[in-house]
Amino acid sequence: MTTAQLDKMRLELRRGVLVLAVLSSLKAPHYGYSLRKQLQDAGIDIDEGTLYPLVRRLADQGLLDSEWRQGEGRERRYYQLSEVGSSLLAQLTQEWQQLNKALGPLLEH
Amino acid sequence: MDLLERYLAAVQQELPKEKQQDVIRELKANILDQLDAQQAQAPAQSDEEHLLQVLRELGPPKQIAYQFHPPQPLIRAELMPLFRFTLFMVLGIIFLINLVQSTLLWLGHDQMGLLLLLKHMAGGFIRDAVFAFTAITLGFWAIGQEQKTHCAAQKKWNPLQLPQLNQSWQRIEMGDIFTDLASYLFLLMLIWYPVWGEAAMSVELSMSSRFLLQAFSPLLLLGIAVSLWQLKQRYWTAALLKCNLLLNVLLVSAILMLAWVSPFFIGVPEQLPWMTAEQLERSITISLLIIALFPGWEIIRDWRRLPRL
Repeated sequence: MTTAQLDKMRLELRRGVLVLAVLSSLKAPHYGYSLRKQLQDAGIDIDEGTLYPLVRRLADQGLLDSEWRQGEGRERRYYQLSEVGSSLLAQLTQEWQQLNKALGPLLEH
Repeated sequence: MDLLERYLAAVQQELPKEKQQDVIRELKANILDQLDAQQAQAPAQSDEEHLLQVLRELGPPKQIAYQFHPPQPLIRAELMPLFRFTLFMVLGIIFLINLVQSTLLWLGHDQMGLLLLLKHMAGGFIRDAVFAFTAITLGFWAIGQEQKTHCAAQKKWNPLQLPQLNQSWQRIEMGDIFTDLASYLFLLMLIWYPVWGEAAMSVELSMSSRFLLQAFSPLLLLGIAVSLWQLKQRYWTAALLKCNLLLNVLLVSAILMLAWVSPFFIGVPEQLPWMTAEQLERSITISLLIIALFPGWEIIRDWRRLPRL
């Protein structure tokens, strides 16, 4: 398998998981950079060019609420899970746990 | 910070107007946060170096704008096979029509050379193809928009409606349907060419050949209807096979009748650059007999298949 193929498959594998990670991190309000930092600290490295547009798309879908706030002499847009987002996150978390449970034994073979 | 403004302006340029202000405001705030973090991590580096690093990590303006606003394809993925077949069919018909138009012009002008013939043909084809491509693309875009609103209906399909096919040949290939459809449409356009085409032609169909061809139009319309039926239901049933059999019998009879008509054309100069008028008439008769072999073969094929359904 070439590096390009591996990169493509890693990207596909991560795509859905990143949504789950972002929604989960936004139970508390975050702005772009602080969200990235939180994900990084948790061991999920995501580049800015992917994260910022992803957050906006989730907000456009009504899964996140957002507001501009002033802080440290600069304005920042804060995002937080909306009601719809919270409900979706609960369902996705359940789905993820089921998948993870089923996948574990398969990967051990 | 001039570089930051240049970057933001380049991203803004790639975004739709209604999103520009909001996206750029947020992107700028995020970049400034990123810069603060970089400066805290490596205070020895200059601001310019930090900014360069942040912008490199973000990616080219087009790429970041694409991430913020992914473009929607004009043609929906599930419509692509039908779009491709339609496009090839129409372009094929346009090519043949232009070939016929140019040949008729060439037959009527003994001064016309091969290069002029090719130029006439290519010019006409490109003009018509551009129009057809635009019309088909817009048509499929409209169908895609319409289907978006009817997604719920597509989910209600019933698997029990799937046909039970006992013979592998019962499935009809999309390519076969479009080949038939293209042939009928082309012939229909050709027959009625004197009505819609360029009026000034020195070479024309004779009275009897024109009368016969125009009398065959309902047959071609029946052929188009059968092809559209096949597009909707892409497998052979006894009813569809019988209909195709009848259509092909009528087509063979019509082509054979046409093959005996003489003269086929009027106004053809006695001596053409590559053949005499008599040789042209004979080659038309032979061509028609060869064409009749295709529906003839389908008659034998369908006749043998019918008892197995």
